[in-house]
Amino acid sequence: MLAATKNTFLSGVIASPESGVSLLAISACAEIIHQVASLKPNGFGNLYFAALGNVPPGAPFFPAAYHAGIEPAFTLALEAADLAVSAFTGAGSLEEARYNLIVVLEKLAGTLMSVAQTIERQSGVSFGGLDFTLAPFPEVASSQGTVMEKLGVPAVGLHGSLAAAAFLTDALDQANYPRAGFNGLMLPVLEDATLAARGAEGTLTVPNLPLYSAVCETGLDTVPLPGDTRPEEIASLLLDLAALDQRLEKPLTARLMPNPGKKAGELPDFDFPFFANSRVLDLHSRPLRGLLAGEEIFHLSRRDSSPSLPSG
Amino acid sequence: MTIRSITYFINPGWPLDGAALKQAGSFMAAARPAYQAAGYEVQSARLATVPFPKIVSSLKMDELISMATALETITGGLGFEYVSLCPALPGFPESYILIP
Repeated sequence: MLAATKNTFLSGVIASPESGVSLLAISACAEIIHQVASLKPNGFGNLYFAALGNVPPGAPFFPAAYHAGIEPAFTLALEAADLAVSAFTGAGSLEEARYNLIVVLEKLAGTLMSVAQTIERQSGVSFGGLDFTLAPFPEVASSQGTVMEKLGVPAVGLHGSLAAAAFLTDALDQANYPRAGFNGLMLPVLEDATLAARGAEGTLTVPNLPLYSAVCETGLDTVPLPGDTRPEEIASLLLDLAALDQRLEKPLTARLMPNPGKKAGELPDFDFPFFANSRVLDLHSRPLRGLLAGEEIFHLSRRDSSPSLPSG
Repeated sequence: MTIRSITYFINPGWPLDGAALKQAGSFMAAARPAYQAAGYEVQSARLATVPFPKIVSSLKMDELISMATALETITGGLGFEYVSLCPALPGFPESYILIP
């Protein structure tokens, strides 16, 4: 279908609370990513595909968006990384930075909601909420990487980045507004000027991204990979993401972009105004073996955060 | 801050439900200018469906491509820049091979 369409996105579920973790679906999605890389010049076709883990219906960002109801509905996806850059610039403390961001988010949510309610009343179409995922634009002033570095991380990818990602997502969690979708930190390597630069410099690596996903949202987005990446190597990464989203009960996606003919460290060839300059990243993966290389479905329950301790 | 997308969710049916799509177009013709009038840049209008295995239950490739291309064409004329036909599902293992 991707080959036959121009502006259509598709996705594939790799894990959900109902289906569990499907090794067969993971393998299928890895094969899709591999095949789609050769559909359009420079592997651009994978912009239109993502593997989904635990993503609920009603998320407004693509490729993750899907509907589950009978009646129509609408939600808003907001490109809001600049809000966090502004809120954190000049803040005298972490508490002040967090407060600044919460205030601006709630103020904007109020005006966006007011318009939504008018539209809802006039059209009869239900409003499902806002997704203030701090989506970036490929400029330094509208970058999640910039926000993390404003907090004090020397360069995204170095230690401290995980804490910055957690801090940002926690601030979003504390803001009060109707929610749809992710509402977390989005780390799309190619769409974010600072992340792209740190990827090119080598401080930000692919293994960093699932690590940060444990404390924020969205997973791995627009990650440029070597053109000779094998589907079995992609499957290993997708399995990690599926395990993470099931164990932590959070939505995660993977939009991976093998760049045909390119090796790790080379410049990708994407010609797209929403992408910043970066370099192809090493996947750091090998094919799975043994039981994990099978086609089973298995369930992972959420880890109880307060396990009972033996007395004494 | 800009609005990356006003995303409209719909079950378009197959054959495509003309009335439902017309309603989607009318909705977006009102929603987009409403946010612009409030001072927000709206980058795109997007339409997301129920998962495609639930739209075309036969999962025949030629039928899916007919549905996908027709939906893209019609919604493009209604002001939507992008369409999501949504995920292949583990309950429909054959749905994955239809995506590329």
